Amino acid sequence: MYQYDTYDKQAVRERAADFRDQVERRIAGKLSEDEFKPLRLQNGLYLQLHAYMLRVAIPYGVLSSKQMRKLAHIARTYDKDYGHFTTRQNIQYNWVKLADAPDILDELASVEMHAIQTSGNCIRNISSDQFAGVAADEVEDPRPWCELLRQWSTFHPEFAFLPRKFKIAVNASPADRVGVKLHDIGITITHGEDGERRFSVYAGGGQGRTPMIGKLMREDVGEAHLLSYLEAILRVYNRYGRRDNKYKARIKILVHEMGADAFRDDVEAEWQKIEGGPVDADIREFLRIEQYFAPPKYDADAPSDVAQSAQRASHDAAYAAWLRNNSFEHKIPGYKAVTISLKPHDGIAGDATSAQMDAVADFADNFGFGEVRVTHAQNLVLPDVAEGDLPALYDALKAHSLASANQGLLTDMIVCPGLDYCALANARSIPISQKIAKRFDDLGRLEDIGEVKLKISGCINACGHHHAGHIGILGVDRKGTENYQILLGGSAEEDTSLAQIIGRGFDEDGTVDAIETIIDVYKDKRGDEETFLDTYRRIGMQPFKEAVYGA
Amino acid sequence: MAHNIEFRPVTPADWTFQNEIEGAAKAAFPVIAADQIERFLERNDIAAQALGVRLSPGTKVEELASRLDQIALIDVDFPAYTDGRGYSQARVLREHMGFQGELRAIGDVLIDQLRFMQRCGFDVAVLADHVDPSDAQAALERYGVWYQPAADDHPPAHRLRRFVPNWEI
Repeated sequence: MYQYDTYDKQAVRERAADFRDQVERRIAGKLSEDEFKPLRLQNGLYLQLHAYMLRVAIPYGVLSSKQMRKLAHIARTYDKDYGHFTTRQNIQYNWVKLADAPDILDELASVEMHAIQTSGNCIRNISSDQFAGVAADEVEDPRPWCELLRQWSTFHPEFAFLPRKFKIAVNASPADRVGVKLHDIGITITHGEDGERRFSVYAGGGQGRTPMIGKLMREDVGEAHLLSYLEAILRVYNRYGRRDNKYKARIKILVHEMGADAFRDDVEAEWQKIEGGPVDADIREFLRIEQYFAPPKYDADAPSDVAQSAQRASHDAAYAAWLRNNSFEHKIPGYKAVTISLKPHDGIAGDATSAQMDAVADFADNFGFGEVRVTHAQNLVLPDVAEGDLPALYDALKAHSLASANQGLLTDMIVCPGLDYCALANARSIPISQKIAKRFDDLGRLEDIGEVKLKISGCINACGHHHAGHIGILGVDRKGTENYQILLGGSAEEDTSLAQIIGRGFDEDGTVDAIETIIDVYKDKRGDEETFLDTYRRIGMQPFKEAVYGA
Repeated sequence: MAHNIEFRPVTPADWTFQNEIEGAAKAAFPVIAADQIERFLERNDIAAQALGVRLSPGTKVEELASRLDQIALIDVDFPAYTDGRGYSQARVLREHMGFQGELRAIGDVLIDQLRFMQRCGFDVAVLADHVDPSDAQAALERYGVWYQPAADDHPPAHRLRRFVPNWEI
């Protein structure tokens, strides 16, 4: 993975020192909360319902074991012994004291981490495929490009005060594991028949109050000109994006109101002026970064050591289910990428205790090359596990309540923090997720249901990605009581679609009942090998509606 | 009183914003709203030694192209620090349109934004009354690493790496 050089170290230390000064001025009363707000928001520090929340950047979801131990240490020392992994592959600490925040940034800087641009109307953490560099289906490792974009976007002087926040995702596989078309900018790396690397750039996608699918801007941006093309998009957006209404300020509204063709034309006109100019970094800088992502020293004998995993699976059904659901095909024979589910049925999606984080760091060292990934679905990944180690890893995970075998299944839910933490929320998300997990607390049943992406947001800002759920749940405030609307048919993958509301909402228990009814309709109507989403797309909303509300 | 902070040396002048064209014509260093420039230049009683123009965030700077050589100062207004359009206006003026005159940031200028203004091609920022210029100078000098080229001459990290790859700090 990428290692900071002197310049990178200096940048995060300068930021940490600056923030310490700002916090001291705030505590001394030299800055009012109003004056302090724009400063803390540049450092990922939010004022939530009960306390300050600090969001720490995990660039494109990649962590070293050393960094993971530091995150555990921060949870133990400065928070209530846990942290929350987010859909942008970051981590949030929910109970931070203002006076401690500068110390936390110093701790982070000591392991090449920071909270820069994790909030505010700027370019946020670049997200990517959790299996980047190991996925059997990728055309190349997208992480060096993510790192190039991280550097380009860090402290960008022109784009620190955009109309609204700006999220970029990079994918390099035919399968879309990043939600390319649901980002402000989504990038897919392809290799042409001529072997040339090209970038397909989508703009104007997003979720939130007004979900929209991103529009293809260009599918032939060359590797030497990616930065100038992105800078052209950002400049057009910064100049012409709406600033009169924060709910209409995302780039998706500009692209929609101008029309994709007119927007593309403006971008082209801007691009012509800067393409090939100074912003298009020397390709040698990319090559420098790329060296850090060289493949680790895989064991060529690993494939000869797979028998014991198969043997264990033959007599241990729980292990077999975990292997089936939580391991992912690796590009190197004899290895698997393993998803560690942070969705135990009695837990909170995305939460991990300091002991669990320390344990995962140890597993990354013992069963891999010291690397951990964070997924947008709020799970963790060990990217390089030799198949022969899988039984030992499973037993070790189990000892730390990290062996839930539900990856990709109904209870592998994305859940926003909701009204338990968030100042914006209208309804709680966590209790309803736990009730659904309890209702479907049987792995055999979950596996029979198969792949269902259930995503829960506690308000229309859609941090829980409900528009992109095969089943989405949206919490609303209905005359002072929590009410939940159900949506069906969304997808954030290569077949991107937006979920549609099925009808009037329910209370918490009514929602859980309705989800079960919806699943029953699917089981009744499904064809051979059809997933929930396949069936929904074939039969449409009506049968589900009739079952939920009566004919 | 308000202080200026200079990112680059500029020629001092007693620039004053003029609401009325009549007043502007009489002033030595008038600053007028960008949409008044044609009306101003039509007059034959101009006493000004130099002309300044004030942009609002919505001003399309390209519309000033034909008059740029008659403008000595452009004030870029930040009515709220959160409105970042002025940064793009500055870069377009400098990098696409070749504006060589003085570029000044006015309005809701926070000291933590000065470094961004400097990088986008501003020469001067006008600080709010209560801001201590030494605090502003300290904020400006706090950051030494930049990752991307912009309208100033600060080399980005990737270029510095070619010359001085690594040192211990």
